[in-house]
Amino acid sequence: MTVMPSIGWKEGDCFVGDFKRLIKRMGMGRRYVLLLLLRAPFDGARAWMLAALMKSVFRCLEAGEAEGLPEICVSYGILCALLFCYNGTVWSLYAAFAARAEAALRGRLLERILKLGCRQVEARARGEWMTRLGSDARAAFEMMNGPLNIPHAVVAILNTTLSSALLLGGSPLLAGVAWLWILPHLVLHERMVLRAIPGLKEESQRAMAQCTSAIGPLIEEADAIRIYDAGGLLLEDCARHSRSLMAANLGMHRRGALGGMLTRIFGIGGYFSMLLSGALLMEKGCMSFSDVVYCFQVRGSMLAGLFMLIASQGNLRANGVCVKRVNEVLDE
Amino acid sequence: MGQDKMGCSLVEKDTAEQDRTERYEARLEDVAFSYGGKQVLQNLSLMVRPGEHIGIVGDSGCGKSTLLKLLAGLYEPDSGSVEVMGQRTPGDIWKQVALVMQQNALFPLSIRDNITCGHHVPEAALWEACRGASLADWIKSLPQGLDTHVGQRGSQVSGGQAQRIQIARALCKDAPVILLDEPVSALDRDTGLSVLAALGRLTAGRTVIHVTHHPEALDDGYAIYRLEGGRLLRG
Repeated sequence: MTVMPSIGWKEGDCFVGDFKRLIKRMGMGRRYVLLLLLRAPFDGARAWMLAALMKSVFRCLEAGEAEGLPEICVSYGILCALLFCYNGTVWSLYAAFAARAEAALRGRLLERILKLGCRQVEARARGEWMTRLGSDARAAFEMMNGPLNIPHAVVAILNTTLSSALLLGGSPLLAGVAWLWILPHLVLHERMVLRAIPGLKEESQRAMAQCTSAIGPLIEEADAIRIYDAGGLLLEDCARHSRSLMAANLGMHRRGALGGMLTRIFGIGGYFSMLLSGALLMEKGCMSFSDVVYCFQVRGSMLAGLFMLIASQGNLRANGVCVKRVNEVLDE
Repeated sequence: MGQDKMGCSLVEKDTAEQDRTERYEARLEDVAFSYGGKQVLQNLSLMVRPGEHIGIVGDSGCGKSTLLKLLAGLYEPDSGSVEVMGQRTPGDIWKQVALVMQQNALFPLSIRDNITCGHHVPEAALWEACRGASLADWIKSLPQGLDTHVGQRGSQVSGGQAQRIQIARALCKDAPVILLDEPVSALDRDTGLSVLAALGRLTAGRTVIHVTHHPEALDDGYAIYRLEGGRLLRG
């Protein structure tokens, strides 16, 4: 799938590169990476704990040692409490850092705009400046701290890697079956959904800027509009920009829906294949029920990580366009 | 009354009687207007006869633009009445007036849209308005002609051109009453003079109310009033 040439997005443009530049500019690179890494192990650790709990419980039940269950549950409870305490502490540090980063970014942007010459300021429409200062800066913050953006992407990568390793350790055959569905899903999602997102987002941001510019005169030139009965003309102009904004957003929603469809098809397909394979392995005596449950649990966690990663990628590519626009302002 | 004041209380009874029988194109009677608790205009009356040119001068912030907006039906008075061409409701008054403002009141659209305001105007009438506003030669020199975009708040055109586009818009509307709010005060002297020439074509044969704090912008044909302390004094 090729991206429309008119929208200015070139293949090879990388949202990670733009984000790195922005973080470097803000002088927050090291702290950000440290907090990300501290935040990252939570989901992976939780997945391992849950899978181990299920495995231990079913092993106890299979061995007829029900008296061992309370000990397992108490250990799981203590580990969960410790893990959530750790996660809460890291998140609060992270949230405070992100809020400071957002304030600093807006300050830096305003400072930069104030330093620009009149000619440079007038070269862009007012709506364009407002969009860059508003929604683009917010998107950069979203990318840093929002749900299903960089923090979740890092967590998802770690979670998927750990779960994949656990699944491979649990049953290489079931791991192979799972990846047989995951790989085509990833490839198709990249080609059919993710590639189009930056172009559509750029178009959407441009349309939003034009829409904001078109709304301004309705308020500022209200006198002239009344005297010359120009409301229809101005509203038609607003409606035109609104329609192109809606079309660009609709394009993104369509891609999102397509991505959702792929997730369901490949998720359910993989689940049935795993069920069938698990049943066959149990029938042949290669695996016990507790081992199959463990593999299902681990696969579930791996898919949760993957889906989180896929969703994060969509948001990252969309927000990456906004970060690029923020960098453009800072570069002027 | 010794001094020639247009406050209603100072207008002699027989003159008031005569006013009621005469035909006026614009009339403010006993108008009071306050803005944010501050009394801007009080007991103000003004009668404008057909074809009359009225100049209203006064210091910045004395309420000249407010007076013009009341006449344009853009503000409603706290008390008293405003009538333009026999119309008293804002929507009807708007149809009777054309307004040229001091600040750049252009829409971020093409020159054509700024002049026609989205209404159907025959091409010949449009060019006639452009010629009247001394815009025609400049527009012909533009690659996109009338379809040239003027930019946000007219950023793609000069101050003089922006005022001329406003004049062409007013010419196109062909309203009987022209309201001018400091149309040349933001321009340099030479540009101001050429815009005044275009304004001359717009105001010829029409009723005009021109507010300015530069009395020199008003020629001999204007009856000049001074707005002071919320009241009109014959200048």
